[in-house]
Amino acid sequence: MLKGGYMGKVLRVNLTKKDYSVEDLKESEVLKLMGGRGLAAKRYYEEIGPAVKPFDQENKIFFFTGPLTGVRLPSTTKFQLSTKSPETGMYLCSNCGGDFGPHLKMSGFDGLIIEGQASAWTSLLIRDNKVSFGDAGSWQGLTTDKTQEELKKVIGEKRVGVMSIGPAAEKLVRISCINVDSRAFGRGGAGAVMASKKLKGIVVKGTGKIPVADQAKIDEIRKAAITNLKETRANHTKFGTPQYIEVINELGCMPTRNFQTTYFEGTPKVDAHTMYDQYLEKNYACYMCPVACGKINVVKEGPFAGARARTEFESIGLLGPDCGIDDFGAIVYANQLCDEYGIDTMSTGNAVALTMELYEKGLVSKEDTGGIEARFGNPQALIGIIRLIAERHGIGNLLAEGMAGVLKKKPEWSPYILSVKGLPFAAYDPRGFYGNALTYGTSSRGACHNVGGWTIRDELISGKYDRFATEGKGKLVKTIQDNRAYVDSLGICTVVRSSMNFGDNPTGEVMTAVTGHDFTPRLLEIGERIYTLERLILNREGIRRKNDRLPKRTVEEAVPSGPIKGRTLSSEMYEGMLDEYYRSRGWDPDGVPTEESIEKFGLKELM
Amino acid sequence: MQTDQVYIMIKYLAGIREKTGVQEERVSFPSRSTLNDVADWVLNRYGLTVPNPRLMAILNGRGWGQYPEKLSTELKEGDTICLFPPISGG
Repeated sequence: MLKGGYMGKVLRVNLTKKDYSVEDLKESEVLKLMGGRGLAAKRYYEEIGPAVKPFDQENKIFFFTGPLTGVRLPSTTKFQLSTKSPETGMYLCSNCGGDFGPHLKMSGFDGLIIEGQASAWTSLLIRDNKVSFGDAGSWQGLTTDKTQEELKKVIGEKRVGVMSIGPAAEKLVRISCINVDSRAFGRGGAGAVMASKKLKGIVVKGTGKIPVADQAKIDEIRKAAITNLKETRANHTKFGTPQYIEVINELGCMPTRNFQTTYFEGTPKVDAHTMYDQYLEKNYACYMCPVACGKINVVKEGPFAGARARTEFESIGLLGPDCGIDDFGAIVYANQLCDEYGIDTMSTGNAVALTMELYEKGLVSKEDTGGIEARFGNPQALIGIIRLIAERHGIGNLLAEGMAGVLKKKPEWSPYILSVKGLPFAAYDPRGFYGNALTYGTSSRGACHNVGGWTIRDELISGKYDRFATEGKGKLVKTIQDNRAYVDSLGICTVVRSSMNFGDNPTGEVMTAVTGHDFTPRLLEIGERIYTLERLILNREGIRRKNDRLPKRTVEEAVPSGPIKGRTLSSEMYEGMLDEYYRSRGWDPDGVPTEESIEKFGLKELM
Repeated sequence: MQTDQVYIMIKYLAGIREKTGVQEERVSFPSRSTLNDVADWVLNRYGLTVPNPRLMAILNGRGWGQYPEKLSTELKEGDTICLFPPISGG
């Protein structure tokens, strides 16, 4: 194994047998796929066949850290999971911060694999290299945060890594998260997989040292990176991701009233300045992060007084403007409810917005909503529908199946559903940035702005692109996706990557100082290999070009008002971008990697 | 009828508003002024350097650098300029 960055071991826990084993991590797979997302994808490819259903006991959850996770550098907080998604029915990759990843590594493991199904509610405790199981029967029904408190009591430590599921996952709500410290594996419903295994939570305490190749050099890099971040990320520290609310709205791509339009007139009431002046209690930092961009907000007065939540841009956008809500207090409370129940704020916001549009169009009645006046802009409707979803009551029981499930039962609602491969849109309307449309279409997990490649900055300022044109977008999206895939495999947060030169032209000093091996010349190639591997998985699960298409609203309806009034993206334009994208990747016209590209990335020998 | 002034709107979004103290303002420039003149005006009034990798400058929804004439692009009546910190996904 390399000199540093890896513990060289993977912990495999079998819940059926209440047993565990330890496997070696192979240097050959590390050199090809590095860590995190790459290793999680490889294990998924090897162990989860296309016939396995999300709640089958044969489904597994693969957690993998990266070589930088837990190393004493800024924000080395990230780790990754893969599993079969209950929300989309296909491969899911997800990325998360907090303290769990670093503690898992300090306990001696680069990865943790959860398999089997327990016969009764169980907790898992990992203290360094010791593993034990606990009875979690009395925790049934507990919220995610209360479950985490119980796990900390059991291990008798406060400084630990902890993950939990909430009451929604227990009801197999398919948009359930795994909440990790104050962050979450939010998208795709991994929390429901954990619930299907009757695993209520995991706590890990690691006290070991993570080996590194050159500690003195790491100390030097850390100091320089912190200085850089204090200057370049000052706005992020002060306002966090909510600062994008105002910007995205002005650019005319804020999802508004279920993506019917793209400019929300109530933005001043829900933007970062309102948050900072009236709601901000304190910042939250992930492991070793000097930026501390998490914003813990508290509602001090009004109908939602006492509500407290860590609100991010995506949550505000989709629980707020997309539902026509201009009451920041209501958004904080809605966010808190989602966190406590353990459901994804983004998929939830989309589901509530869908319900509101259907209600206003007369396609859903008060009988379905349990008496809720489900109109856009009604905060009580937002809160009420969240409860219906999490508790599987009324229309919530259908929405809890996720958009793929909704479409199966109500295909006539398809004109109002904004999702790709079953995963609802993030908080950007793709009619405002055509590259973003391709991002949603070709992301490895459905309509995701991160895994799919966040194009907005390039489309807005690079002289090479026009945000309302299709030319060059295939190549652009591919490059950003590959970039993101390698960053997701490093173990650091994307917010700090530039301070350590992990951009399009990464320099080698960090990887050499940590691992003793200069991955840098091949980082983008590693990213491309991971993306190709993920596509092979998706192909095996039946995904082809037809699944990479966007919902009707995006390609058939022009934006009716606001800064980009009249803009639309036609199907022909989109198909043209898709062609360019597939060609850039070396995939055939149906979105299948060619033999040549499989060979190029050495994927045959990996499998 | 041609006037000798053009009026534009400048919006200061997110953290940039901290530095300007105002959210937006309508500003007049002599006709045939360019983005260079806006950059000078913003520098003199608020000490903000544009263009700058730490400040995104947008004219009518597109980056200043995306216009063929770049900073020599002439202002038109009713133009909207937005200035905000770099964004990187949420």
